[in-house]
Amino acid sequence: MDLIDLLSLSLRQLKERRLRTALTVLAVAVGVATIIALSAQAEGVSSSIIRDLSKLGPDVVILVGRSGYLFTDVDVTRLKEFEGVASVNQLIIQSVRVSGVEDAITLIGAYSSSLTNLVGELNLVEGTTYLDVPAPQVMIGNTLAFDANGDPRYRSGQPLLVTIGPRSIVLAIVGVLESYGSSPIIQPDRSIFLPLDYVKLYYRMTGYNYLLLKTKSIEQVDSVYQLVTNAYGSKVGITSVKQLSNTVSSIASQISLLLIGVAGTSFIAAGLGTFNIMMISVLERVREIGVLKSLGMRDKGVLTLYITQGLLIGILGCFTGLIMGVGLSYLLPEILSSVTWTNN
Amino acid sequence: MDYLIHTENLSKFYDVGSVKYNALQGVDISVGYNELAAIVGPSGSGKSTLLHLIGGLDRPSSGIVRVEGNNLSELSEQDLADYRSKKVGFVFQFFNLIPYLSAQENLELSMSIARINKKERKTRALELLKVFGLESLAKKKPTELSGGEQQRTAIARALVNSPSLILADEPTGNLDTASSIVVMDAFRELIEKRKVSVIMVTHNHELMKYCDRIIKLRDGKLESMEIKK
Ligand SMILES: Nc1ncnc2c1ncn2[C@@H]1O[C@H](COP(=O)(O)OP(=O)(O)OP(=O)(O)O)[C@@H](O)[C@H]1O
Ligand SMILES: [Mg+2]
Repeated sequence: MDLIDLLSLSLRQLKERRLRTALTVLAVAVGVATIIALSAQAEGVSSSIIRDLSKLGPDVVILVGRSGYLFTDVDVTRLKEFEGVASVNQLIIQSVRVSGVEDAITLIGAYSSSLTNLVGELNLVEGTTYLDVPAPQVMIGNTLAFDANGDPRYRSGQPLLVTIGPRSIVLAIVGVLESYGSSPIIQPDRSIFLPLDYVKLYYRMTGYNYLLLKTKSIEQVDSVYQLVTNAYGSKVGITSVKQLSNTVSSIASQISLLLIGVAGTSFIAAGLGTFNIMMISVLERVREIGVLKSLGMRDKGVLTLYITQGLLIGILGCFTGLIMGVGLSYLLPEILSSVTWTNN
Repeated sequence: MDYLIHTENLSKFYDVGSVKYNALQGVDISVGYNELAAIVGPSGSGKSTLLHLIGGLDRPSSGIVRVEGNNLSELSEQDLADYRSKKVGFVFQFFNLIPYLSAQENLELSMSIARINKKERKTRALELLKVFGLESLAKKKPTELSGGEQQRTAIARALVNSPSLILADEPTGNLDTASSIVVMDAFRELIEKRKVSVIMVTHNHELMKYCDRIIKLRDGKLESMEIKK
């Protein structure tokens, strides 16, 4: 018997047990699809977090004053002298409330030159950046400017009532930022940006609760980190984007490993299922195999006949699973985000 | 005298648990060319076992089966498969036909195993189905055929590769007398026209008068061999 005849006989046998064949193909397909969808998911989540982190730039180190410690201009000058530090950006960050917006909003006082270091590229829907003068100007994040339906809530030129602690002030909106999506450390969409000098004046502050350092190169992040730790000890909390990315990557890779383990198990289950079905097929066809042998088919031929069927099921299942897996990879994030939380 | 089939001290044991069961014990028989031979005997006397050994479906525990003087035990697995494919045509009592293939495809399957090309398969299959009056049923599946039609299809299939030996295990077992006589006439005609030998197992005494040789088995041993020519 030649290969084409064997193949067509295999197909006839598979067609005879249509439902069973379809179910076995499905089992293999589900196994393959799970592997693809889950590993794509793991890959996607980790790369999206890394992408968010890299919006800040991998060369960024953030310093937070602990238990009320404020950085002074002396600190800024001193830090600028540190080996590997390219620039020091002074920040005052507070939680405030804005009338007409439910959630707490982050107020960020910064020099306009620091803005690109904070959010990456500075993109405005309308208006302009504020001027570095102690005047009540404000640039607002996208979530404040538009409500959930996308209707405008605030526009540039309009006043904004901000409640800071027990007091309220009115600021003039000069610009509206584009949507930045999720971002680490600061959330531009839920923030308002004010000239640093105005915030200092208003709070009567002589220092800054946050500093954002940019290093000259990514390689120097660790040494700058070390220098700052040596200089300030426990007075200051230090976070570097690089360190954060590393942590995220290592968590993500552990999650991937887990997901791939789960998917692998389902793949093995599919394999065992196929094996089981092939065993049953052979056992229930003993009489048929007897006839085939009496017609002169060799043991090798009979073996090939059933291996071909297993192979056909495998190929078909993998192909179906591939399509299902790719589809699922695109669908899963939608499903997950609609079930868990809605970003923005 | 030259024999097509000749067995010498043929025995077959089956291991049933720790006990050895003698299905066949020291059987010496011969079947000539162009003969219709019957194997008879009570149930369990070893008739099917003998047929399977002659057809190379099973190997003997001891003793020899000679076909045209060649010892089957000396053939490799492959040569034995070729022997079954080209030299022998089997007809069983039950489950002869592959259920999901049509009558014609069942014949063609046998030829595809013998590596006969596709065009030849079709013409030969239709030709043989016609000989057995089955040409209008060629596209039917076995379940759509009557018992007699199935049996005739099986005999037609046994002939497709022009074997020199037909082995039939109770081919008329589930047929009425009229259909049985049709099958016997078909065998006789084959022997005359195609120069084949037929060995069949039967319980039917009526049919023995068609046979040239009666081989009687009892408890796995040869009781008698009677030649009627
Ligand atoms: N595979 C086997 N394993 C064990 N014993 C077997 C096997 N095949 C046949 N036998 C035994 O060998 C003996 C002969 O069996 P065989 O099938 O040749 O009988 P038979 O003459 O064809 O009977 P029947 O007329 O009922 O078909 C029986 O007693 C049977 O039980
Ligand atoms: Mg029997």
